[in-house]
Amino acid sequence: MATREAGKKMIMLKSPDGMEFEVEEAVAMESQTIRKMIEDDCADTAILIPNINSKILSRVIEYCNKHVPTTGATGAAASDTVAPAALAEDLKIWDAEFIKVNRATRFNLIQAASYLNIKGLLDLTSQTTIDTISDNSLEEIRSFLSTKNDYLPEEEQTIRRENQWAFQ
Amino acid sequence: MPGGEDRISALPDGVLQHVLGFLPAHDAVQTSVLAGRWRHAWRSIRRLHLSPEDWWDRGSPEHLKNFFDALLSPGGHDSILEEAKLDFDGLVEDCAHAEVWIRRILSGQAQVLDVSFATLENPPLVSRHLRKLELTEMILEGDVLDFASCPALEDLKMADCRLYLDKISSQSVKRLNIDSCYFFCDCRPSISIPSLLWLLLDSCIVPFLGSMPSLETAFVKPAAYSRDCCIRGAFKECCGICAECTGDGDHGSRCVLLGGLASAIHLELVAEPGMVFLELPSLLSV
Repeated sequence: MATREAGKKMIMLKSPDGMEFEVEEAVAMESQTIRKMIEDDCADTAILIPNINSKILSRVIEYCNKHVPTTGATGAAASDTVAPAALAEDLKIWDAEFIKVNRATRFNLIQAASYLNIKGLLDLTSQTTIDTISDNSLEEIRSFLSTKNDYLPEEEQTIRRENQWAFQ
Repeated sequence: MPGGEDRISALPDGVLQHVLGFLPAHDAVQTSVLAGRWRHAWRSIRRLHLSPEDWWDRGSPEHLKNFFDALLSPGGHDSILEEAKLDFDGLVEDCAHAEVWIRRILSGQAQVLDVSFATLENPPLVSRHLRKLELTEMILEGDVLDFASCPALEDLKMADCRLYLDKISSQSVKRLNIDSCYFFCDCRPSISIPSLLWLLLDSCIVPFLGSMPSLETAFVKPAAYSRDCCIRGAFKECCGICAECTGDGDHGSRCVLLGGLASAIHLELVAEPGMVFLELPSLLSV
């Protein structure tokens, strides 16, 4: 494990396509999965991140870099509560730009966020995915989920009756 | 990604349940008729946002009860909801129902809960995982703000609540935001949260603040409407010596109302004209 500056531990993350990313430990620990590896002392050398290619991994690191609690110029930790509203607004604008990606990239980001357990990124990608279903009609949802109806008509009627209100 | 799977249904169940949580409640329920795989999937959503705008034109209070009964499966496993935002404004007839749902959600996996327009009474809330609690336009009674049984709670925010209680306590809360809340109690309320780092008290009566050695930032603006003094003085002014002025007796004659703010690095006190901070010099000399 390399150390660059005093107090700033660096972690090496490797994608399966052979790319290496050196990131601050605090940034890597935005991922609960990596945090657990570090805390369990399983991270002395580079951590291989399976199933996440370098293109997606670099976007994930970009997200974590932005969302890690920042250290101010004075060296004092800037608490995220000093100006929570302004900071949250800034992040929201940044997130909206960050997630302007095509559908395939977004699904890869969902999978990466899920595997690496990065709550904020998973929420962002999930919300954006749901927002793409325009009016949430049942047929839209059905086509969105690429699901074929395998119910018998009478089965479907029974299920509709169970939660009738939702279908009004 | 070339050749990459980009159909949402190709996602693993756990991820899919997370994504579905971003659908409005009735749309999530509608997925039950899509196909056999989906019949019960909506009951496993991790996130629930309920708002009157989504609900009013569709469901009655009875429907809402059926929805929660199905979602929270009484007698079955614990709720797996991780995040719930519940705005009950005009949606429930019997407040006791909402309280039961809230408590059932808390006893499961809930980490973030945001509730508006409901009533919470005794006993204290119990949740192993709750990190963030937001209460708006709530009626809170009894020991409900004793958070001894919410050991992971770090953020507590209350706005426009009516509090029929005199104590807020926690060993874990780091950030406390109380805005425009009204206390209905016989004595001055007290806040005992030694773990606090950040405090905002806006437009409320100023409570007794217990010791907060880690406090970094505090903003305190007492309510303009409140005549916040004991009126036991000779000219019906604050006497400065009675129990209400000095605390429960343990504090002697020290500055108790704001003494808890002594360790704050950033402190902002905003007073209306005529408001007097007794013994402020001893506070500022710390």
